[in-house]
Amino acid sequence: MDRFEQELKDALKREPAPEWFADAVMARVSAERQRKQKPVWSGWARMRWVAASVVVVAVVGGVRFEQQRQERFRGEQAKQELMAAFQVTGMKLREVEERVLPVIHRGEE
Amino acid sequence: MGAGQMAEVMASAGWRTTAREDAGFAAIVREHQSMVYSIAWNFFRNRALAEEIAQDVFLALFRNLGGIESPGHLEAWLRRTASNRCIDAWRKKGHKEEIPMEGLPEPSGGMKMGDPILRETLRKMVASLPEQQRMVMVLKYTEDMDPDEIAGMLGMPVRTVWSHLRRGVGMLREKLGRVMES
Repeated sequence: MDRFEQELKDALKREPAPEWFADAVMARVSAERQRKQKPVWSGWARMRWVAASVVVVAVVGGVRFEQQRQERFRGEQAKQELMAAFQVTGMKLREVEERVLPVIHRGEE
Repeated sequence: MGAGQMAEVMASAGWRTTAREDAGFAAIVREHQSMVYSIAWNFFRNRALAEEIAQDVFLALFRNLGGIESPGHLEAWLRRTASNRCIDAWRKKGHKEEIPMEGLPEPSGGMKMGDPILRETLRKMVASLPEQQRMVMVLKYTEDMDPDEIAGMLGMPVRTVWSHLRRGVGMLREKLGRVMES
């Protein structure tokens, strides 16, 4: 290394960073850490929350759907039982009518 | 935490865990801040840009601590990342931003070797070199790296590094000779 290169080396020698430099870096590191600690908004955690929400909505929706299906079934059953009761009542009334009407007619004669 | 404690941090088996803690990472920053800052400062000759790039390099280190294998690897990683970020930032700015030469006096005749004004003139001349050649000069004369190491770090053939050095030094010598004669 000749004199010129030594001069170049002296001109480009390392300089100390500003005194506050490490503190500034640590402030950015701290901000980075806080950003990473937000679980709801971070990658995998957010995916887990979305998946869990989908499962909860599916389960609640499924249970509600089943309840409504059973209610509809019970309603249909009650309706059929009522219709059957009406039919039985109608038949009994016709039987009574068939027995009573001839007696009434005979009395009039 | 001093340099000795820092060496202990790095030597201990769980150094990566320690490095992730505030005190451990701050020790790493203090140990290497002069190297990272000086690479950026000698490349840009702009304090604001040098500080910004050096901070970015350490933040990138914090994010990549898991990939650092040893103290030697840490130092080489910081040097390589600082060099690449300087070149990238220079290219991103499209050479449009003027580099302020803070407090630079005008060169005048009668300067001799060792003169502070002459050294500042030299720094200004280095800052005017093309970005790759400038980074080769910074790594050689600031970091005292040999051409093989520089070639490996910047991903260029060794003969290209030699060529940058020969031409760079030749050009600076010629320009400075003219300034000193005037």
